[in-house]
Amino acid sequence: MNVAPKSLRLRLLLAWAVFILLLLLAGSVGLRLLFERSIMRRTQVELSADLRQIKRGIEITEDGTVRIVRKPTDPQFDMPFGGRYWQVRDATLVLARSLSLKDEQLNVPAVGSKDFTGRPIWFSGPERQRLFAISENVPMPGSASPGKRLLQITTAVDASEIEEDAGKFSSDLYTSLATLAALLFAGAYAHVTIGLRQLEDLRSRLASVRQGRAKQIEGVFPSEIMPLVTETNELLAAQQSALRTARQRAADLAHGLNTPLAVMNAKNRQLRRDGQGDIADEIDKQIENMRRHVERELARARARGGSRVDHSQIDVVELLEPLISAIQVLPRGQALDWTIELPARCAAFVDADDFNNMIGNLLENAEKFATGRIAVTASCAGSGCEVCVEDDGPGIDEAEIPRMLLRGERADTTAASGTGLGLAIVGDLVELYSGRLTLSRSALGGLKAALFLPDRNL
Amino acid sequence: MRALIVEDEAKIAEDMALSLTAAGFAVDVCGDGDQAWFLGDTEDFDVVVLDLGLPRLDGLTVLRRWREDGRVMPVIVLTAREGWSARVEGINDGADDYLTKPFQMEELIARIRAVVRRTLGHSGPQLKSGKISLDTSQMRIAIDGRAIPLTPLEYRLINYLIHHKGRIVPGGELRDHLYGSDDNREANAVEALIVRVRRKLGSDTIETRRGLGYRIKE
Repeated sequence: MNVAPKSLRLRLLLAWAVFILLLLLAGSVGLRLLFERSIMRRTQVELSADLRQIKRGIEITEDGTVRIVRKPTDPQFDMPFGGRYWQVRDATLVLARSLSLKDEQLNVPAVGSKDFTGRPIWFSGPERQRLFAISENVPMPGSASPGKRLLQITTAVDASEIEEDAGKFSSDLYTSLATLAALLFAGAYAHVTIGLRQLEDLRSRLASVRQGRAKQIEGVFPSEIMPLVTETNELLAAQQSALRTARQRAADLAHGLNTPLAVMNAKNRQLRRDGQGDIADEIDKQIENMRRHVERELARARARGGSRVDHSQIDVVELLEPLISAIQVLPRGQALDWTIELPARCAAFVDADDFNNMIGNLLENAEKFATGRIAVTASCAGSGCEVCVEDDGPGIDEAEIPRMLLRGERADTTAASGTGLGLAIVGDLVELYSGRLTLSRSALGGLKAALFLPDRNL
Repeated sequence: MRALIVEDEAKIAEDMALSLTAAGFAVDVCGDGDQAWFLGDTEDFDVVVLDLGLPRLDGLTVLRRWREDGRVMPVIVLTAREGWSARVEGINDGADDYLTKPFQMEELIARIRAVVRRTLGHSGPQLKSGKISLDTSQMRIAIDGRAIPLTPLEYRLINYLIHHKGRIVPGGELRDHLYGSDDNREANAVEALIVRVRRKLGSDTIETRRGLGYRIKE
């Protein structure tokens, strides 16, 4: 099972978070270790200095007792169990000690058994303090034979002091590391966002290709993304070219069928003249069927809606006027009573030729069925424009509507040719623009065809 | 009635020519825009069927040039691939009607008859002059309601004269519009035809104005 989050941003940020956490964890452990070592070294230096001072201050009185003439000056040496201690002893007795030890003694391993000179040692001291100490064996001054009598000098410090320091340092360290983590994470977030912005940009440009506003992904991208853009553009170009070829072929095929159909029509008339009316009728039906397919395919191949690169918003009123006036001057148009209500301006996002083909088909259909009146109205709806074409003809049975739109079949087989097909073509075209064609009964009595076109690319 | 068919697809043009001839038209056919422009500019046609996709000179340009030169014969444009934008342009440039390919021949003939009638100021398919009545959709002629069988040429003559009733039609014009441009008949061929028709319909149906032409009796 893949547990990685789906979002690339989340993945990158998660990776960053883990990285920062591990880095700072290692950093804090390492820093604390370094700090402890450094504090230890410093303490050792201090202890050695004290030890050297004691060593130089040892005097042997005439009666043979040991006296320390120069003691370390740190007041902690004088406070009982104050945390800093020193003592001088020989093999059997403690000869001198700091005031802080009172009557206690430092249980340094016995003189002579081992030489701890210069090396730190740990042991338990008075009041269960854990002590950090250094110790040095020196020959008794004035003693003739050196190996004979040794003095052990020890200086010690309460280790809890060191630990306390380290603790304080750690808490400071954690605060600053948390701040650092926050800063690093903010940096990582900015880094991821900036990096991904290119992808977001790419996405929006791809979206405009899909919506037909651009043919290719445009713009300059970083060298890591550019190959992807180039590949995608080549894919798009190949697809567009294949689409163009397919459309052209469909158009050629449909167009090429025109001539054979005309010839078949002619032969059919011949058949009818020769008294083969039954056969001719059947062939006519088939020819008409083919003719409808040809016309619909031609209309589809002609449509530009699929690629919306070259169109912009158009004013439909500007296109409607010449279209209506053209139908009005035709023989059948002149015989009708026209009601036309157009706004001053109405915007839609559609190719002008496609628009002409849609409205032309609706007008032709209405004009074919109207017995006396046609009404054309256009209005700007909230998000586009609606053009309604109504007639006072027989109208259509509402149950027939889906079949008419789907297959372009005639509602009335006695009507002039091409009826219903026009509506199916309009239905095909309007789909390309995410618009819709609604058929209903008109107040005039016939069909009301309402065409809605959005005013922007959806 | 004389019709010009401008269509570059030979088979379709031939089919249209046959059908129009059968429907009582004298038909000329041409296959390119240049020739069409010349023919329409120099000869008189009662109707032109003009395909928009033509070699040499496209149909819309041909139509525009005719109208600019004051040629007013009715023109029906045939459109195939061009779609509505071209149709609207054609109509606004002076086409009288349009038809989308592929079309039914009956539809084309009905449209042709309608624009011819309308151009000459008649409204319905039934034309009447005096006691002669002509049903253009049935191609039938009757005197006082009694159908008279006529040959195609005889029908063409009555058809032309009745469409132009009230006007004296010169013999030359009649010859052009009955036989078409390919037929180099003498003027007396028209005279002989008139005589035959008078014999069938009655001697007072067509009036001869010597030196001017012929007129159908109203």
